Amino acid sequence: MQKSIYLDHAATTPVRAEVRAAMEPYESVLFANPSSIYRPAQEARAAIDRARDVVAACLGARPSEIIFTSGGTESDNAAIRGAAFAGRSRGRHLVTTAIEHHAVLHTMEDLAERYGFELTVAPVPPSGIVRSGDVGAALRPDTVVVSVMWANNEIGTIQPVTEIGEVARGEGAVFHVDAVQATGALPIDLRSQPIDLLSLSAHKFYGPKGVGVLYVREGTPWWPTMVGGSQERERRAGTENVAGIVGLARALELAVAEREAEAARLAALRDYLLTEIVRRIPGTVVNGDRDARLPNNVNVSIPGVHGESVLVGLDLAGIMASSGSACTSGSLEPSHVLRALGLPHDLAQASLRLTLGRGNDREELDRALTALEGVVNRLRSLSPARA
Amino acid sequence: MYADLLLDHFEHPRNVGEMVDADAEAEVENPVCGDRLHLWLKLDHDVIRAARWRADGCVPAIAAASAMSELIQGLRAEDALALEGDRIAAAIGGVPERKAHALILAQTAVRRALRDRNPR
Repeated sequence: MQKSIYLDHAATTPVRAEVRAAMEPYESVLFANPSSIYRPAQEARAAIDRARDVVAACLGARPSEIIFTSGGTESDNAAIRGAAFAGRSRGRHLVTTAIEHHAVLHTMEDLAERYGFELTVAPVPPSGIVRSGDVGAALRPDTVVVSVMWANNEIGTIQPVTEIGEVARGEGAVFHVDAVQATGALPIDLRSQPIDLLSLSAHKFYGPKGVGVLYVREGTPWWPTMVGGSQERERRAGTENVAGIVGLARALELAVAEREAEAARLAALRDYLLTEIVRRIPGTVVNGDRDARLPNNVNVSIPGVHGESVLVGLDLAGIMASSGSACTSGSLEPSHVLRALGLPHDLAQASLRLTLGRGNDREELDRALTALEGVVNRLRSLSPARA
Repeated sequence: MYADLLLDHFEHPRNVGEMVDADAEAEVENPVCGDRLHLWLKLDHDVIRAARWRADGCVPAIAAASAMSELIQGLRAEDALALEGDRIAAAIGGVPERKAHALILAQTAVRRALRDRNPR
């Protein structure tokens, strides 16, 4: 059996060897609670401080603006809830877009359903690129939080966050950006960005699962939602995930240092993959803008086949990918992102996402293309003629 | 997620094809999932001699169609009409609860084809 091919890096990435090595001591000899008084505990504390300095430097932030969390979902929840509650005396209106991750959309819906906030979801055009004018049109004098992702997790489209941030902050709203997919792929320098809150997650850039960052710009009206001990300067209670934090910092440092070269390599592979799929599989529709998208993201719909059947067919050939079809998620409705772009139900069901990463090369893509062609041809040959 | 038997039917579906001289046929659809199944039957004195099908759907929809086509060949029409989803499920090693629609699709195709069959 040939080596399997992993093409689902937007779902998660493997932990790099350098990252595992950096983490190891904090899972063994330096296991002490960083809040304790003895010297090994102080070493763990120092490791967190160093990690915070590294993360701050990578993002163009101050160390005091970095809060370690359990990952992207917690960061999104804490950012939005914290800014919404802190801004409640000023207003109760929230704005986001139709293609956000559920960690953002469901947080905002929860605030609207249970906590008396009002929510406006800005539409997104078929390109998958949010128009700052649409966000601007949704703003009201009582808008307290605007949340827009830097890059979309399904179709990889890159959002004009600088432009949107200027519009949102111009109206006095706090601007949150979910940068979970963008980290390591796009340059992030918060000194020059009109961003107040930013979320990221280590396992998307070859760090461990269960650890993330919430950036809170100094002076941003924001309240902590996780209370208890005084960790993270009383902004996120709970014993620190020391090894995870050390791993996150090491992974981010490597991702930022290698970003330019790796992004260029991936973009070339992505363009090759996309071009070849379109060439070899008649009827293929590319989802999302072809240019303003993450260097590692390919998302297509293949008419006449079911996304789940393609995924299982690929899996049987040793290739790991994902789809926006309802059948793969367990829900009845296919991807809210693809539907928001106006894709009809059957094309959303027929979607396939291939996301590239460090381990992939041209030879692997050629093997994946051959397998994909075979699976699609086989499924199409089973299909009844359209009446 | 899926049993080996189910995956085998998905990868190597049985009795796929069309029939030009079918005595009964039906096309059924599950609009929620977008699954589509077309079934053709050849009958001889009300006994199903051959079943052929084509489908466009999720993995269990294809596997269930394949298993159904094996189960009904040789059955009297009245027995095929009584074919339960559970029998099809058993033939493919079970189907996850939320995929029960795949069994219903296969079962409905058999029933509709036989009910609408050309009188002999």
